[in-house]
Amino acid sequence: MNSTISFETSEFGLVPKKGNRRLCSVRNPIKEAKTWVGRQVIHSDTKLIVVLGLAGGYHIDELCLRYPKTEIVVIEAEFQIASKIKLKNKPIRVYTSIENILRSDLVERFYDLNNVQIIEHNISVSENSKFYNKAIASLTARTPAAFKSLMKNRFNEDLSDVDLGSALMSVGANESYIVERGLKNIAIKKNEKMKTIFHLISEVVK
Amino acid sequence: MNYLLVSLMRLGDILLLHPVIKNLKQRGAKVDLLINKEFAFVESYLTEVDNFHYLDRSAIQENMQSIDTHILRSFDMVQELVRNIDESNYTNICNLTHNKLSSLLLECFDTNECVTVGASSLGANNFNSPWLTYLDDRAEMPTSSSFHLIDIFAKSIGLDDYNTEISTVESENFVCAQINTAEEKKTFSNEQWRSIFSMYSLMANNTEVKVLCAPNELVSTDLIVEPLRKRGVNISVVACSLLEARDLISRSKLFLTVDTSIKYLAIGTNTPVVEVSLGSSNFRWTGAYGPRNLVLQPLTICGPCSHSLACTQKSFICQEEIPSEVVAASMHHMEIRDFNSVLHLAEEYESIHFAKTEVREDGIWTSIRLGRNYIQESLADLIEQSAWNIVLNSDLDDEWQAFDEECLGLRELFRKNIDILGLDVKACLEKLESYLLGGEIEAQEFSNKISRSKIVQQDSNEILGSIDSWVSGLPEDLQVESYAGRFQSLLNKNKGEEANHMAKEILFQMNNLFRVKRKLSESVRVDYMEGL
Repeated sequence: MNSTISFETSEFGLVPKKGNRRLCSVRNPIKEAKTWVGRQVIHSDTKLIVVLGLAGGYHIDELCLRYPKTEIVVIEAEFQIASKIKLKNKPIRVYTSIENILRSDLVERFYDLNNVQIIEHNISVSENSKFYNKAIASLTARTPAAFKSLMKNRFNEDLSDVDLGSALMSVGANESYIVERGLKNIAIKKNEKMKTIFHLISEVVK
Repeated sequence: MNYLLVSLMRLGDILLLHPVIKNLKQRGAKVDLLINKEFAFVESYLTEVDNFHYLDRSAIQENMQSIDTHILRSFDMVQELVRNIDESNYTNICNLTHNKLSSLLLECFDTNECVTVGASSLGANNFNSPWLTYLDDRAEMPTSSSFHLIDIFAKSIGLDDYNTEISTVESENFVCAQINTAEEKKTFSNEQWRSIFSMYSLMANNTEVKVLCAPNELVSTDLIVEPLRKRGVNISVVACSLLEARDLISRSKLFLTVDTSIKYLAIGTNTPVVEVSLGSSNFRWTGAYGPRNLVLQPLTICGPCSHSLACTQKSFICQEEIPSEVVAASMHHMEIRDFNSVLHLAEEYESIHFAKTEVREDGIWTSIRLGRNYIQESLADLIEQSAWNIVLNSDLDDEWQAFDEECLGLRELFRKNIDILGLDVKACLEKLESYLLGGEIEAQEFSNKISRSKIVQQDSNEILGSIDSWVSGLPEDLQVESYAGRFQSLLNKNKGEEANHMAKEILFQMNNLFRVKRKLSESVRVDYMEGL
């Protein structure tokens, strides 16, 4: 990410800054983290929590304490933050680029697991909203690359960029995201039923 | 037998299946229903249905439009629905919805082991039922339909003789009214409703009027009736569920309704129904189902209009065409089903179609236009319906027996309605036959013209073969002429393939219908009128 990341040291540990803006409290980041976790509505059956924004990591540590049995992964836009901040409670996977997300099995797992939640660390997200939007779109397979990867790995469907591109263009979508009406234009070759259901969904949202 | 009925339109389309479901259950079938999730509340009303499946359109839309939700979540939902249906091992899947969505869904089901009727997008023109082909033909011109949707659906899934049980609940001294509709053009203005109820109150010694509505319509409905209550009219608003509405309708001495789903709750009750058919309402397809009801439809240049289009007139002329006193007087007469008095009204107000509904011996709903000037028109409609009933029952082993049954059915209809048809039936039938003979000759001449054509000759065997089988066709005999013109025009432009296709279409419609109608009329007139 194109940024000026620096760190301050508080009595509790490191506090990252982007430009002049601190990404978490310097006076009491733990209290702030507890409050943040308390505000999140995590369902009892949630199996995977994806946190957008690592910041100082205090909120992740608190989340791990509060939900010890739930798997947690973090997406952080700033590589410098991810490499500097050390989490205390358990090893947590931190993704710092869309490419890494796509290379991992996260997109597939996000689809396979029914009970997945995305929660946002607001200051981090507001500083890099474009990146995080793309991260969400990748997790939900709404970018052509993520969709293509999922279709290949999960449904054995080889989609060409041309197929996907024309599907998007033909419905006037921007080049980043698949829009709902574009589904029917995607050339599914092997799974006829899937193709028909895509068509049906396009009909419903039309 | 294990049936799945698919109805993915609106509430009314679901409720009108009730008699079909009941008849299937009487035959020992298991009946499941696939409907839109937003109408899940009908579960408590359609108690005969064994299982409900739902297509959750709202959730599909919300999932697709929320970037936080996986793009395949809606796919999973539909896939699960399809899996559940495939695992239910239906012997018959009947798509009774005429839209693209339902045909796509039908295409997803594994139907190798079951009988399916209704459109799938794989074979858009193959409905596996001549009745649904007939329905499809008339989708563009529903006013030409000879059959009610309920009958088309019942026939399409193989119900031949069926009946609608009539309850024997004693009527009480109140009437029910359903005045709310989803479309503004299908109901009267508030002022006109007040005028109708006010006049009715005077005619009927202040008999109580209960205006039915859904709980969320209570406030707006109450605004309509409040001024009447202040003037001493015995009127109230009742917010109720479907079951409660049906109970009230069955106990009332009359049910006044506009074209809305609630009118189907009167099916099977003994309550007389007066339906006001306004705007896009097409009573021939969806009118008050049951015997001896009354439908009032204004005869305007634009009606019935399209569901999807706004009114094209400066004001709702169809509403203005029906004076309040006509509705009020019709209500008053219909409390005791006094059709002779209604007949006088019909003759006074010629710009309104007064349709008396009837149910034939075999269960088919029909209607007769009241008024001495319309006997010819009514007889032609009845003969047309009978002819189509013969033609569409394509698996008839014995056509002559079918003829005999139709003739007996027509005789019974004439007998029951001789008061309103008058004594000129024989003369009218003779006139109809000469008209039909003219149509036959015209069709024959055109057939000859096609046969002489070089282009069509190439496929003449196929085309001539198709004449022998029944096929769908245009209902208006004279439209043969317009088809002939289009055919000639294509020939002139050397569009051989299209001309050939057109020729087939024409030959399709020049099926036995003219002849069947004429023979029916002749048989009824000569052999079945004795004693009438």
